[in-house]
Amino acid sequence: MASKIKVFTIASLALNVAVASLLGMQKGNYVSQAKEAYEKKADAYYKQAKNIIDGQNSVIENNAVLWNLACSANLQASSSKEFAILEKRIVNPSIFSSKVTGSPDGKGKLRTVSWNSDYYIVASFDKSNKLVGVNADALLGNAEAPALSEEPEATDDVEETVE
Amino acid sequence: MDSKKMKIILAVSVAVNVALLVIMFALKDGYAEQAQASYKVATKAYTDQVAKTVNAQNDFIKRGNLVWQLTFEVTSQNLSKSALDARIAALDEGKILDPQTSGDVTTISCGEKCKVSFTFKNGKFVAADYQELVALSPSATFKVEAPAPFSFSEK
Repeated sequence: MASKIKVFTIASLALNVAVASLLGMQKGNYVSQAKEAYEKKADAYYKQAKNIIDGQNSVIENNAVLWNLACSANLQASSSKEFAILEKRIVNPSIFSSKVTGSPDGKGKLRTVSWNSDYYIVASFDKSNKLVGVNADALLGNAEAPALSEEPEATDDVEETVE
Repeated sequence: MDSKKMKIILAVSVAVNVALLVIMFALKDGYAEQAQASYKVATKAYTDQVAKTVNAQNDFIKRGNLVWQLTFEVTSQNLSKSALDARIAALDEGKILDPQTSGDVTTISCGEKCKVSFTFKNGKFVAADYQELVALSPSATFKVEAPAPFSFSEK
């Protein structure tokens, strides 16, 4: 009988230690689960938002260069040569490209300055290379802010701006 | 050790075991709830912070496009002061451009510390200054920070 009590006592004391350590770890387990879930969600959201915000920043930045060129040409350029000088001063050739084509009436020239297929301006020149005007239509109506594809509850107030 | 002492130790140990188990189950729900609440608070704080940047950027896109459009129209068509006023009234539905006229100079706002100004003489367009809009760096203005480390807020 005495030896049975001894065994039970040892087992019970061992159980004391085990349950006490479980109790100690209990809080840590919940905290680490919450931490892991937060990090996963926030990190995915960060990557997605960063892509969108950086993409929009480059649209703003590059379009500002085109607007600047268009407005400066309106104010300062009267010929294709003067336009080219302005373009060289304002536009970074590693980001923007220029293309010269004939105008639809076959008499003049069109110079398209773009940084991608959606965003460009077109300067038109007559047969004596005089600047007739700049068309900036492509810079209007295309600056669309893509929505975040996965919106956690907290993003209800993110507005989609469609320009 | 005599059997009486052993019995007492066993009884205390069993009682402690029961107490510990009761405490463990009692705390379980509380911890789970607190962890869930902390997760929600931390996630919402971060997504709100990002949403603020996204909204500010969207607002700027709206405003910047309007300001550039007006600047382009004024410089390409030599708009008069009254024609510019009419275009602002037609385009600025949200009243975000805050047009101000002082003497011959009309300014419109492209954001905080950003203005575009147009100078007129006898109502006719003379000059435009849009350098602040050109100089504005969107990547310095609109950026999203990496999430802050998780903090467990205990009730």
